[in-house]
Amino acid sequence: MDSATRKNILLGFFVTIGIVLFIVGIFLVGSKSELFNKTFPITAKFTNASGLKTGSNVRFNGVKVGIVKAVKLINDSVVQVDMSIEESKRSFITRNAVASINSDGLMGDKLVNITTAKNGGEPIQNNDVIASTNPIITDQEMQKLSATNENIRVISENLKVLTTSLNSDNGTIQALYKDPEMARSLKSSFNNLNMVTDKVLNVSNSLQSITQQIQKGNGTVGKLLNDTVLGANLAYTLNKLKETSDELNKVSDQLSTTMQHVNGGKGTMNMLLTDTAFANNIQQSMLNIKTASGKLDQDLEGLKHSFLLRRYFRKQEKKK
Amino acid sequence: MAAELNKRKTLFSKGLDSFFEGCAELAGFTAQVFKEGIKPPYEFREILSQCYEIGIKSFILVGVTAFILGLVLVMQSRPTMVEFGAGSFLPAMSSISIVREIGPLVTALICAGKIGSGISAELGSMKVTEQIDAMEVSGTNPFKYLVATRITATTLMIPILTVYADCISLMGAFTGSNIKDQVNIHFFFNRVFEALAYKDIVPSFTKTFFFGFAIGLVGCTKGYNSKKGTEGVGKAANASVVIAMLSVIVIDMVVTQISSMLGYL
Repeated sequence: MDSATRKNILLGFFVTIGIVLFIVGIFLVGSKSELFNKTFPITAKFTNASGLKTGSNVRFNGVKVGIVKAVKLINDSVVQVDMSIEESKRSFITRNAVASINSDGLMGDKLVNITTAKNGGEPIQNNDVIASTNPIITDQEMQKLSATNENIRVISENLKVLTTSLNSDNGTIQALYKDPEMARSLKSSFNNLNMVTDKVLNVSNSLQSITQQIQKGNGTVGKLLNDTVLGANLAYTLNKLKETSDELNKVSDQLSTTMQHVNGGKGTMNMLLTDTAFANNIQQSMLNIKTASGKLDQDLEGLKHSFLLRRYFRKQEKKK
Repeated sequence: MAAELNKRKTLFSKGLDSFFEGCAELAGFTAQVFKEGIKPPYEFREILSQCYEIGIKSFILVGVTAFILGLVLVMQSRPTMVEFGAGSFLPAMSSISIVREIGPLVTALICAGKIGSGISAELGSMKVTEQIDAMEVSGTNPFKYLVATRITATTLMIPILTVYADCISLMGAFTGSNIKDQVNIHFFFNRVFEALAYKDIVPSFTKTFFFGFAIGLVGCTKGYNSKKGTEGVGKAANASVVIAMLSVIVIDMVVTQISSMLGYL
């Protein structure tokens, strides 16, 4: 083999290997871009595509299943994301799957993550539009965090003022943690409070016991609440009481009317109550009757000793 | 007016005059290359011979340099990326750096040094020893035989060397990743090709043709137009290396800007 032929063979080998490497590289890059796989298109619509671009990965439950083919602005609030999904993954994705935009790690590229629906569903078809959830927008989250930080700063300043005030003033709080007398007093108060709490607890227990007894139907109150016969009797008694009350009411009315007649009328009763002259006359009559009665006693005593009636009185005494 | 101009030793300044003169020389030489190169007959045998000299004889140098650069790139980047918790992005970072820039540029710069100076010295020697004149006298078109073949060879071989350089450099990056960590080769190259897209490959591969053309053109121009004997040959070789390297950098910048305008970046 002459030198020129050897050189040509070596050159051919060199160039061939170079071209093969280039083609393999192109193929590998293409296969990662889903150029040589059989795919089918689906779409999702978002309000914010948030850094998503053509060629971004599409994952289904974390596994890469395709790439983003196009990101199109449909109107002022809708961004359409066209995706190319591997045909072999079609059976896993259902029509009610949900797409969301996430990051590949904290600093990684944006990607579309499709999550499976809980209730299953029909397998996805070409050009289906699947539901989507809006991504977390970092700027908005940072604004919220900024507001939270501001609040924390204000709280921190207030706490600083409060603690400074507590350290410098001679108020109650400072006395609370510096004055031993206050501490003793507070301790005593707490002891008293403890005792009161114990008593309250005892009372509570007693009340609980009473309540249990009542619930069991023991005692008068228990029977009152639980005994149906007693209840019926009580109702009957109350009815009777009501009737009696009504009757008493009537009697009271009648008495009232009678009293009105007594007060307003001109009969003997009214004169007895209101006429003083009549009263004096009656009083005088009563005195006369008393005097007459005394005289009559004397007369009767005289009759006893008279010979005419002496015999009769002796017979009456013997009968006794 | 013309008489006044003829009296003056320089038009602008010595440096500027020399620069514009070189530009004119290069432009005229380029036009002649296209004129002679496109027109048949073609010197295939000489082209293959030059491809062998340029491609295979530069392979070891380019390969070793590319491997070391890939390894160093990963070793230098790793601490910072790990500090940011982005250690897993090393394959992606290294692949994009190597394919987009390091591979083509390093290959072109090495070839500018080795091949550019070689072509320039070879043609310069032939020029000062009047071999080129002898070829013209014997009826052989020296431009077609010497210049067009070399420029064609550099234009074809630099892209192929770049493909090798990219692959070897990625192997170097993988080795670098495994010095401090244990990285699976499948995982590494999976991440490499996941990170790459055609928009990374097309502009970087395209610019290697321009690099090759520029290196061949500058080497041939300086060598073919060398003067003042053996001293001129040395100067031509030196100027060839400097201008070829500068041309590579300028072309790289222009291609990057055009790629950006076309949406490749």
